[in-house]
Amino acid sequence: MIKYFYADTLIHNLDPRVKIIILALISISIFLITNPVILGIIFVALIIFWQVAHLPLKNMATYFKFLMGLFIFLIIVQALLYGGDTILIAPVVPEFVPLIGGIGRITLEGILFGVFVSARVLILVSLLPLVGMTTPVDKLALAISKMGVNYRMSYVITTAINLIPLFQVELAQIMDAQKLRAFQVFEEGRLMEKMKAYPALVVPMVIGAMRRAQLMGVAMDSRAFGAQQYRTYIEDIEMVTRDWVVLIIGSIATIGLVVVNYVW
Amino acid sequence: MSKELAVDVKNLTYTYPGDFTALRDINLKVEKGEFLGIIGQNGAGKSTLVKGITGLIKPTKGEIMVLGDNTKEVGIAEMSVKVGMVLQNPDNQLFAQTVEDEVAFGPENLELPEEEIESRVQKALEYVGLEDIRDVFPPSLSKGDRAKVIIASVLAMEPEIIIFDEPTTGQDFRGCHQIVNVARELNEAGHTIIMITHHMALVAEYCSRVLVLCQGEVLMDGPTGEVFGKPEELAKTHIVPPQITVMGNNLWSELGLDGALLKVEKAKEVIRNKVKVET
Repeated sequence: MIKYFYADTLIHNLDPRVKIIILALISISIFLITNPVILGIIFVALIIFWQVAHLPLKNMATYFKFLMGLFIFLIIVQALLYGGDTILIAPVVPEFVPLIGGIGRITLEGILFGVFVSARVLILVSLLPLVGMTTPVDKLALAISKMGVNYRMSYVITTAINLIPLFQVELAQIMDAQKLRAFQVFEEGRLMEKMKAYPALVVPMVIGAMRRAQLMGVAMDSRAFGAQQYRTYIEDIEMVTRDWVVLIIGSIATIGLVVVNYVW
Repeated sequence: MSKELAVDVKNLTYTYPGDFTALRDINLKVEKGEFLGIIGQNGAGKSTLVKGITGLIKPTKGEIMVLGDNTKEVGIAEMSVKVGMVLQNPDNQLFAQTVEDEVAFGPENLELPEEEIESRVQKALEYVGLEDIRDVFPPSLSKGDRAKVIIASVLAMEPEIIIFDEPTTGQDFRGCHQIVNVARELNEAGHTIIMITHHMALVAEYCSRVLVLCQGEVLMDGPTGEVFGKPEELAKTHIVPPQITVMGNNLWSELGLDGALLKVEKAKEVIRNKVKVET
């Protein structure tokens, strides 16, 4: 889902550190912003960035589809619990009943807030590919370590990212093997049956991952991983004027939107 | 009169999501009781073809009939009692806590009665010689034994057709022959066997017919001797017949051979006759 997607665009060519900083700033800002219009502006900007980076927009549609259940859940919970004056459905339990009085009341404000929270989640999820899909993992590792994170730690983070698609393939293979033995719980089973079936899926995954990690460790040790405190890189990254310009404009715009939210 | 068909693949084309066409207009008829080898380079479409036969993937174009059923119309669970598949990596196929549970996994999914499950598990484990280690945690077994557990798990489903997808990868010489011997015994017991492998010597020794795939298309299809008798054709997909066959092909006229040489035993016999050495 966040596998590197090659294209020669401004976003691809930016220094990964700029992308990481702006990603962090936007991620924080969407939790500070309370105005739906400003959140909408950020969402539209994201769609434009996706277009600039030539990322397939259908991926975003896939995330939306995938998260639909969560959104519905959020909207229902907020509609019931958020409160507000515009009551759409009267409470099932009358207000005067102690403790549970007012339960079952659905308000317009609640629904809107649910939509707002869902939009935050969607923005967060759509933000990650703008870094993940436009930056090769080795560059990401380099950026993280240049930002002061210990190389071992940045290696762990990037290896984890690298392994996600591999695990997806492995997971598909395990599920195929199960289907071949007439196991249909993941297609047709009830929730409880699915819950019970998860260990059968997780056990081979975990054992496979541990075996892989062990082999990887040996292969890395045999190539002097961690032999020196510092290391050199075949391809270095350097901030050029373009990176500084994007970083400054991006930061000012994001912080500006938060300020506007509170001043407006 | 021709025999009944186990598998009938008609004009099969399969395109993976993302627009990669793995198979193009494949036609294949496998009769009941055949031992078919499928060979070809990595990416030739071998695994995609057998996945289609098991019903795991549905044809983009064309159709696949398995024992009279169209894979497009029959569910995967229903198919699993007709066709079983031993996949390449045993570790992705072991999900249970004990060998016994592993082998019982399929029959349990079929909702068979307890006695039936027990008898199938017993039979399957005896078949592969693992009846004494039924309480062991499968991932802790040796690679050879893990492969055998998978074979037993497939046998417990009692499918008529059994597919082996590169079952010998990473196995030592003995392990390879043990696994393929099980396939031969099953074939002799009446099962239709389809085996994907890169191990040409095993193909020569065990398969009666070979299908050669090249970039998603059928390059050759025929009796093993015939296919290995055309090294120039096989070279198109970078396949070299087993050494014994290469030797036979090179000494063709001198040895007075009729068809390709596939087995060492046969070579010994031919050479003995030629040089007239009495044993």
